This record gives sequence, C-alpha cells and structure tokens, in this order.
Amino acid sequence: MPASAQTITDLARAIRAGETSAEAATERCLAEIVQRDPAINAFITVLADGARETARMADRELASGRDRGSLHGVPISIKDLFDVRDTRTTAASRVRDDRLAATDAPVVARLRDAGAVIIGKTNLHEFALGTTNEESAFGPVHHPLDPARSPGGSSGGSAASILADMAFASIGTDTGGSIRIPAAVCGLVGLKPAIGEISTEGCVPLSTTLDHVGPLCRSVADAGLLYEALRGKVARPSDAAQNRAPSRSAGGMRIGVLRDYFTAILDPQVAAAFESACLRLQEAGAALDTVSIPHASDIAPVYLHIALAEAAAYHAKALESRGDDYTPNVRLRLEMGRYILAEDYVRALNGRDVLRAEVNAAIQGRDALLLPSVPVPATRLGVTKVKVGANEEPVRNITLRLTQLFNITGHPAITLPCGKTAEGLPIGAQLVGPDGDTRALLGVAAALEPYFGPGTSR
Amino acid sequence: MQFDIGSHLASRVQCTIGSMTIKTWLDIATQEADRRGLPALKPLLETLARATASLRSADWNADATGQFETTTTRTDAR
Repeated sequence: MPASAQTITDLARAIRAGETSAEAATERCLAEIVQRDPAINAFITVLADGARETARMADRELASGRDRGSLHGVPISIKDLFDVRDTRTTAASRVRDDRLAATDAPVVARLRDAGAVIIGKTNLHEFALGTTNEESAFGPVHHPLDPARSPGGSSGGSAASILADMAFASIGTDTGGSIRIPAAVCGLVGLKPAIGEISTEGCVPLSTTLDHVGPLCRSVADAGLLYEALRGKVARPSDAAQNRAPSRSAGGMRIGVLRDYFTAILDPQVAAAFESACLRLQEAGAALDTVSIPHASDIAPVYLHIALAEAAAYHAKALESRGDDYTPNVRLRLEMGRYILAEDYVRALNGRDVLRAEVNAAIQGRDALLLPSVPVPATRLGVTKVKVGANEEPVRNITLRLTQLFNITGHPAITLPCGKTAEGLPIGAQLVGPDGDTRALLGVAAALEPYFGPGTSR
Repeated sequence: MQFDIGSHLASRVQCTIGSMTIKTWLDIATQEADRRGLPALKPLLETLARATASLRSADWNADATGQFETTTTRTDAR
C-alpha cells in the first residue's frame, strides 16, 4: 500500500491495532518525498530529522499509555506561510529573509499538541496570491497525476503532498479558494472553516479580512479531526469512528443548488459530473431545489477591491524596497492594489454585507448549499487562458469564480471529489454551511460524501 | 522632518480638484505607472477600472442626496 493512501482515521486505527507505527508511517512518507518530490516540487523544506524524532516519541508515548488523539503520530505537511519553529517561513518568495521562526504559529503548536508529525513545509503561489503555483521563488508545483498541469493553488504543494502520498494531510490557507481549488483539482477534501474560527496568527497574511486557515485531506472525517485539532480540541480515536459513521442521513436533507452565475461557465465534463452528483443525492433521498444569489455578478469586483487593497497595505513597504524580488506578475497584482481608492474599498465592504445577507437567505431553511468547486479541471502550466465551452477565460478568474464568494461572506465551505474527466483528472463539488456553523457543515458533508461520486481521495 | 506624501497621494489630490471619474483616475494612474517604470501595469489598471465601474454601478450604493446611485454606467471605465 502506498505511504498514505489511507485516511488519518484508518492510520489511527492501524497504529493502535499494532499493524503499523508512527515511525513506519513517517518513514514511508519520507521515502515518497525522496522518490517523487524532485519531479513534483511540493516541498520547500523537508523536516526529516524532526519528523523521525517526533514519530519515535509518538510511538513511545502510545506504548506507555499516553494517547493524544487521532492525530497522534500522523505525518502532516504545512503550507510555507506558517511559522514552524527553527525553520524559515518563505511564502515562496525571495522577498522574505532567512530568519528562522522562534516559535510555532498557534495552529502548528496545536497540531503538535495533538501528536502530529510535522513532515515539511509546502510550496505555494508566491505570498498565496495566485491559483496555479507557477509564480514561486522555488519553481512551480507539478500535478502528481500529470506533471504538465498545475495542482491548483495557492496551497498547491499541500494538495500535491497528499495526493503523492508524501503526507496524510496538510494545513493550508484560503483567501479566495486556495484550499478548495487545489483540493478539488487533486481529488481531495478541502475545508474552509467559518471566518475567524481558526487562528491566523503566525501566518503570513494575504488579505486580513478574507484569510482562512483549514485542512486538506482525504475524507470528511479527517477534515473534522483536523478542524477540531486546529481549534485546540482533542480528537480521540472514538471521535474518528463517529465521524466515519455520520449521525445524519442524506434522506430528508434539504440542499439548495446554486445555478445561474454558478453554472453558467463550466467545462462540459465538470457540468456533467456535477449534475450526476445532484442526481445521486436526490436518489439518496435529499431534497434539492434551486436557489440564487441576486448580486452574484458583483462577487468578483467586491472580492478584487477587498483582497488587493488589503494585500497592498501589507506589501507596500516591500514593494518600494524589494520590488524586483517579487515574481513579476505577483508584483504587478500587488501594485494594482495600491491604486484602489478608499471609497471603493468601502463600497466593496458594503457589498460584502449585501452578499452575506443573500447567502444567509439562500441557506435559510436548508441544510447546505451545493455548487461546483472549480469550473475547469487542473489547468496546464504555462497558460494564462483556458477554453471553457466556446469561450476562453483567464485562468485566475475562472479558478476563483466559484469559491471567492464564501471568503467574502465567511460561510464555511468544503469541497469533496465528485468524479473525474475522461483523462482521469479529478472534479470537485462544494457544500456551503450555515453562517458560523462549520460543525453543521461537516455533519452534512459526512452524510452526503458517499453519494458525491468517484474521486481520488480514498 | 519632511515627509514625502508619495506619488500615489499626489495623484489623488490632483484627481479631487476636477471631476473624479474613473476615466480620469485611469488616465492619471496609467501615467504614473509609466513614470514609475511599470508600463506592464497598464492592462491591470484597465481591468481594475472595469471592476471599479461595476462596483460603483451596484444598486446597494447609496448617495448623499438620499437616492440610490444607479446612474453610473459600466461604460464609465472607458
């Protein structure tokens, strides 16, 4: 069996059954990194020695009766935006200095407290400002299923590390879709919790009011375990068993399907996979109806004015002093943000309130909203436009199109695999939960997961 | 101590003297990008201008007259 073609839930059970150990699981991941990462480029820093030491300690603790929970001894990768003590935080940029972080970011500390083995820091789109990972000081990340394609971004190294069996899960950030986009095009589960639930301290910001932290992994149950750990809760093996057997069933669930803007521009294979998933959910007893967001056409302008203005505020000083050290396109997008007027930023904040109210209205009386995750499968590296039906769309715009709304509104959202293209490229669909209620979303996702369709997650 | 208010702010001060349309803003921003040696910024500023025009035309924007601002057209970017 490949190093981590099993879930955290499965690994936790196997470790406690004596079928494997934290050290063995870690060694298998490290072996995959040695073998596969030169071609994939998912990692910026591999923490082999520290991972081995932590894994051995995890095994000793379990042997002595100390069980920290389901993440105990599980190899996990971290997007290189987070401080991990005694490592540099590169943000995939030459702009960052080589100073080593003195302490762990709170989310990393919580993972360590939960017993996780931090196996390395993953590559990303420079400063998380992009969806392909092509603009990285450390070179692009290649999709494990097709090296000519991007694994999506900006948490592309995170997704690739899981798909290539180099980690069991990863922690990413999501400002416009940067967890859900790579998870979707790599056939994984990616959770963006509700706004403000998970600490962003010790994480290089992109847009301070849109940034979210969350997990990429292979199942909804694993996403639940990681979500609780990131919040500082202890996830026990018994919790994993509960997560695997969801307390709710698909029958009787009310799901609002977002159409119009959200299905207007879809690759035909993505559209077909999404409609098949809708049919399967109905056959399972879920009640689906169509809902709309009246101001959906304003999503992109609202997002642009908030995201780039906030990013520009963070980067302005470095743009003046180290502008040439940015990759050219990231530099230009950040410079673009410096020209946004305060009055337009305020208009966008007002638009955020309008959109939040519309998403709340759409989900009112329903368990979740459903829509595709990314309109196209994994795009080819080196292209700036992609053909969707009869039209060509900018890669950046099309990949953000279906995810960025829920960064604006802060609703929790999760992507699950829902099929593959004829070429074997994964397709994802998103569920969106009630405002501030990530646990409710996870419950719905766990119940519906078996009906979403074939993916690569398990 | 003297502080340089910066070219961005100077441009905005200049904008406020006359009519502050998106076209005016775009012209000044483009000139400034050229002056700063960033001509490649021009197409991005044009994209931003279109997005700003769209944002300003949204029907949630109130104005000080008490009327909803619905007269700004999306062609204002050009």
